[in-house]
Amino acid sequence: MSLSDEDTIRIARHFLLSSPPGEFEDVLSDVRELIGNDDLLNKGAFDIFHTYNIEQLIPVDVPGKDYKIILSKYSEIEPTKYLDSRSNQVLTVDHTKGVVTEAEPRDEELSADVKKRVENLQKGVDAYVADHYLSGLATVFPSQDNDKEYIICITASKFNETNFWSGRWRSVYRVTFQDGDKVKISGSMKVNVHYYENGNVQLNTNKEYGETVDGSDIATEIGKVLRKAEGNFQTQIDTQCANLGETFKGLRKRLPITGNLFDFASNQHKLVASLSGNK
Amino acid sequence: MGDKQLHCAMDLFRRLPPVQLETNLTFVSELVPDLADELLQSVDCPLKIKTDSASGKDFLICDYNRDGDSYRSPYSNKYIPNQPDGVVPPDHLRKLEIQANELYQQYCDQYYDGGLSSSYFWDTSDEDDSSTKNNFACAIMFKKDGSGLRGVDKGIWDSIHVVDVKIGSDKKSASYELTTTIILSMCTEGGGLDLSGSVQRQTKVDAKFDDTPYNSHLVNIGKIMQDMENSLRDKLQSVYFDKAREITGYLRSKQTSGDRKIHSAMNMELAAALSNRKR
Repeated sequence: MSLSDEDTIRIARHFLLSSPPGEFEDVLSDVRELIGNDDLLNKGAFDIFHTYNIEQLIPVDVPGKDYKIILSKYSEIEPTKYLDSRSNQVLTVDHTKGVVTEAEPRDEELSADVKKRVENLQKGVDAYVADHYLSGLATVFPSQDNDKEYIICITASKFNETNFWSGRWRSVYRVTFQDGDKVKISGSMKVNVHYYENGNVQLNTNKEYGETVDGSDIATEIGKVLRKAEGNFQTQIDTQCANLGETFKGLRKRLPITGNLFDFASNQHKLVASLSGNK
Repeated sequence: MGDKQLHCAMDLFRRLPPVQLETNLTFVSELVPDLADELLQSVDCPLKIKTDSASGKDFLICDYNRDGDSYRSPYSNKYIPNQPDGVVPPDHLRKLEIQANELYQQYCDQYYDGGLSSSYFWDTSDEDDSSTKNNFACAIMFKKDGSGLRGVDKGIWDSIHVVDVKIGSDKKSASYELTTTIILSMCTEGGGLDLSGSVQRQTKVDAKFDDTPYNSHLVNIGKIMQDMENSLRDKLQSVYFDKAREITGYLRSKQTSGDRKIHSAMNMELAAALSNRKR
C-alpha cells in the first residue's frame, strides 16, 4: 500500500516544521532522501518554507539598508510580500532562499501618528534587545487592520554545531493604544533548545504575558515592560528546570541507601541459594 | 539506497522533538515501509508496561520480547496474547534469564525505589561456526515513573541496556559489549516547560567468568551496567538541567550589556590578580 501524494507531503511538512533551530536544512536533506521524489517534494516546498519562515520569525536583510526585518504573518501582505514600515517599502521574499529579491516603495504613506509610534516602539525595543540579547533582533509592525495596534517580534538564535547545541528565543507582543495614555500589551514568549551530543535532548517552553501600562513615554515604557516580562520568564525557566532536577534525583538514586554500589556477587549468591532451597 | 535511507531516518530521530518520537516512527515507516522492521530494532522508545494475567505481575515490553503483536512474559515464558510459535530462549539461557529477572529487580529496588525491571535473553550463536557456541545477548530494562510529584506533571525514566556477550576461545573469559539508552521525559505542571530526550553510550569490557559455583555472567553484566548507569546519571543531570538553562542564557542574558561589561572587567581583574600570584 503506497502513500498518497497528499499524505507524503503532509508528513514531510510535519517533519520540516518540527525542525529544531538552525536544523531545517539537515531535516530537509533527510526528508528528501526518505521520500526519494524531488518533484513531489518541490510541489509542497513553497508552503513548507513559507510557513517555517513566518512561524520561526526568520530575519531577512533589507536591500540597501543596514537592518534586517523579521518575517511574520503580521507584516505579510501576501505570501511573498512583506511590509517594511521603516523604509515604507514592500519586500518580495524568496522563501526557499530566505532572501529579499525586490524592494518597491509603497503606494501610500503611513500616517504621521502611526509612523511616530512605530519609531518610538522600535527605538525602545531596540535598546532593550541590545541590552539583553547577545544576537537578538526586533521588528515593529503597524497592524494591517487597526491603526491603534502594533506588533513587536523579537527573535534570537544561536547555533553551536561544534558543541552540539542550538537554541531559539521568540517573542511576539501586541501593543494597543487605548483612550487616555493607556497602552495594553499582551503576547507570548517561546524558547526551544536542542542539545544533541550522544543523544537528543530538547527544551520547549512558553509563557503568556499581558498588562496595561501608562504609554505617555512608550519608548521608555516598552523597554521596562519587556525587561520585566522576559526576565520573569527566564527566571521561571531556571526555577522549573531546578524543580525538574529535584524530581530527577528521586527517579534514580545516585547510590543505594546503603551508600555502597549494589553487590551483584553476594546478591546472586543469596539468590542462587534461595532458588535451590525452594526445590 | 536502503542503508542511506536508514542513516537519514536515524539522523531525523536525532533532530526531531523527542516527545514526537513514536508518531514520527510511524510516519517514517509510512514513507518507507521497508525500513519499518529495522527502525523498530534500532530506535529505542519509552518502555511500555503489560500485565501477566496468570501471575498478576507487570513486565516491560519492547522489541526484544516481541513476536508480531505478542510479548513474552519473563515470568511464565509465554507470549501474551498467546503465540504458539513464538521464539523462546534455549533452556540454559532461560535459566539465566529467570535469575537475571530476580537479581536485576533487586538492583532496581535499591536504585529506583518502586521501579520496574525486566530482562530478556536470546541466543546469538551460529550453528555453522563453533567459535560462536554459547554466545548470547540480553536486554535489561528499568522504568521509573515519578509523575505527579512536587509540581511535575511528567517525570519518567527509562533505561535500556543491551549486552552482546561473546565467549572467548579459552572458554573462561568473555567480551561484553554494552549499549545503553536512557530516555527521560519530564514536564512541569500545566505543561509550561517540557524537557525530554535520550542519551546513548556504548562500552566494551572483557572479563573472566565461571560456571561454578554458579554462572558469573550476571555479575559481570551487572557491574558493567551499574558503572554505565551511574556515569550516565551524572551526565544527564548536567545535560538536562544545567545545559538547558545555560543555552537559554546564551540567547538572552539576565544581565544588561552594561552589567556584563562590568562583570567581565571584574573577571579580567581577578584573572590578572590571580596570574600575578603565580611564581
